[in-house]
Amino acid sequence: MEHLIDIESLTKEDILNIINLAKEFKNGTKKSDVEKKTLALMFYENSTRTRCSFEIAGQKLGMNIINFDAQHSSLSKGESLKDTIENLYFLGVNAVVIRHSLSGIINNVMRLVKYPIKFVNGGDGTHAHPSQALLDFYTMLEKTGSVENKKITIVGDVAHSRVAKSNIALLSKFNADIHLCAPSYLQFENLKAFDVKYHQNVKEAVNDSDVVMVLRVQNERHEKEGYPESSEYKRLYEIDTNLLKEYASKDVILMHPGPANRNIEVSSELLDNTVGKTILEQAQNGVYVRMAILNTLLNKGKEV
Amino acid sequence: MLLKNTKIVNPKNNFEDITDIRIENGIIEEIQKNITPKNNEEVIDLTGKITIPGLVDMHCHLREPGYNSKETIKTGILSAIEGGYSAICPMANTNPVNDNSATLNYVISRAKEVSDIGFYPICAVTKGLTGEKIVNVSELIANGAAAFSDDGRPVENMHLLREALKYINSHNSIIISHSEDSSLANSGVINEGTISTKLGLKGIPSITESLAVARELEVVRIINGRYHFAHISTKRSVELIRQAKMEGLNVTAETAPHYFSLTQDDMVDYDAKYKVNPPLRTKEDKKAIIEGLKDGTIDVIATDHAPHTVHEKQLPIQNAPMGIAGFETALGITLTYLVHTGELTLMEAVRKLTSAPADILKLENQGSIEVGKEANLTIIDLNEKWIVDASKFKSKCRISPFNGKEIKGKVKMTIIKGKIHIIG
Repeated sequence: MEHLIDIESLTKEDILNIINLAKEFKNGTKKSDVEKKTLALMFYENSTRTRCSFEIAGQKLGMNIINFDAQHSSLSKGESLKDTIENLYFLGVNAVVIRHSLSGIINNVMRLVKYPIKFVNGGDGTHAHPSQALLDFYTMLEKTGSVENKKITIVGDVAHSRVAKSNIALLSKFNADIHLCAPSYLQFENLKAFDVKYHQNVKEAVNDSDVVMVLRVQNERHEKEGYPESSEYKRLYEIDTNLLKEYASKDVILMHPGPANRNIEVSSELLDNTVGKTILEQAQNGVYVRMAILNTLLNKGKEV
Repeated sequence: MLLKNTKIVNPKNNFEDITDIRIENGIIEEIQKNITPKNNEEVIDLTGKITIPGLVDMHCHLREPGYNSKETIKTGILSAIEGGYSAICPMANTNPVNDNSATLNYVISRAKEVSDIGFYPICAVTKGLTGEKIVNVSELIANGAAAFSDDGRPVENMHLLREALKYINSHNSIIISHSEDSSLANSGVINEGTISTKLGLKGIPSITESLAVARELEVVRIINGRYHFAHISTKRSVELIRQAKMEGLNVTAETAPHYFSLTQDDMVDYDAKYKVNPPLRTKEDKKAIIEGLKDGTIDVIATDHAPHTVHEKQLPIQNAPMGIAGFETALGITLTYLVHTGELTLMEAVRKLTSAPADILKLENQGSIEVGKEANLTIIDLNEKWIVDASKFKSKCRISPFNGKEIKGKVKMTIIKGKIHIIG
């Protein structure tokens, strides 16, 4: 594993190595191999938890962290991302985490950057969010032991979700039974792109589910042409306590990559009760998984 | 000048034989076996080489005036000659737009300063390519317009299209259609399908093209017009045009080499060097394009040479412009993907690159090897293998989806009005 761009380019072994390393970081049996290395966080799109999570992960590893101010960077003066990253490399940065609204921008810039800086995708457009999928997987394993043949249902704005895509890629590798549920206007443009089961009816989708992953429904999309109002979504797809109690498996795990729209895609009451606590544990696990990611990428760099 | 022992492949009269060709003052004087050289006559032995009519490109973009950093008329012409072209038809989407005699005369005179290449500009259908007001058709034809096209943009007002086509046809000229429904194209990046969904890129559905083709065919039908479809890329478009031709409509169609050699599957790494409009489609579409070429539904192979700077093509794929360099790879790609694979005979492939476009645009001295006509010829080695090196292109657009690909079949000389340009 040279970089973390998407789940597709990882082997099962790469994934399990990260999970195991994260476990060691969580229970305190593993020490950092990457102290004093420098990490730049380049977030061109708003983010609270991913950014904080990487920052805390880096701090726990004893790294130097540069919080690159993307809004006021020279990129806004027209400098290309390639030039910015090459400059950072010469300033001593060893790895960059990039969050950007354009799908594939990291694939693009990696082709152009000529120096051995490490790339971590912190979420690009509607393409991939691999560290999120890894921390989701970690949380599922922690709760259930295995995802094989478990029914995992993803509900919400599937069409625009990089989280859904990275989760599908990862869970497919481990033979989970993956179900997607969304109204037609929030479903993938091309259903053949992924080998999963699709639903329009949320009860049918949630029925017997071991994991229900709720995706954020971006309100701003409902303002656009071709979409009904968000109340239409809430009416048919909101996940609440009764729905889970009536249809899901009794030990169902509720997940949400955040930030949640209370009382649109998920009820406020459900978020605040014990089922909703997994979502916070999910965020906490993110730190250990990201420590594992950074340690793996940069430790490997040292051997070379 | 005497070209000795060359195999001629001339689709216009289906002539294929090894003979000699005598050229005097830029004109073909004699085509015979065993011509005896005159005193002091220059003799070029072309044993093993094939002579075809100079290639005719009815669809390219030279960017001058207005976008000279992408290409100029000079670099564009040098690139065309390198690719074996003796005639090119630059589109009107320059700045200013080629919708008036002054711009038309300017581009023609710039071309003459560079070369004797057959230079037949396509003028805009509507002023400023805005789709609103029809250009001065007769005046532009009198000044050298070869046809009319808003290429780069569709004409979406069907009333205007109907009136423009009637008027342009009445002057014995044609419209070349960029068939696209812009509400469906909706600033998409690549073909809509499994790849666009996986990559998270906005898709351009294939009906963006076929819907426009279908409605334009209805317009052509009611006025019995003569009409040409540019850069056809989808299976459904091929089916619609095939049906229209069977019903006797006077329509012709072209495709470009990238639509029968590449697919959306080549775009998985977000590389804008594959970004074209219409976008690279599916394997099934590619197969249908080849079928359309084989059964004559698609008459012409045009380059759609649409150069941009290397920097622009290295931008994130969403922001990079559409279009690729085409002149210097078109013949090689056609031979590699259509002739050497057995899809088309050399005669049929050459027809689509020469006599078919020359006939559609009625270009008198192009597209055929005949006594009494200008010596516009391309000499090729059908079997020579070479690797595409975009960094060596004559075009300013030194980036190509074919870079590094092995090609079988190479242009050796481009002869324009009897003047030899050695290639490579």
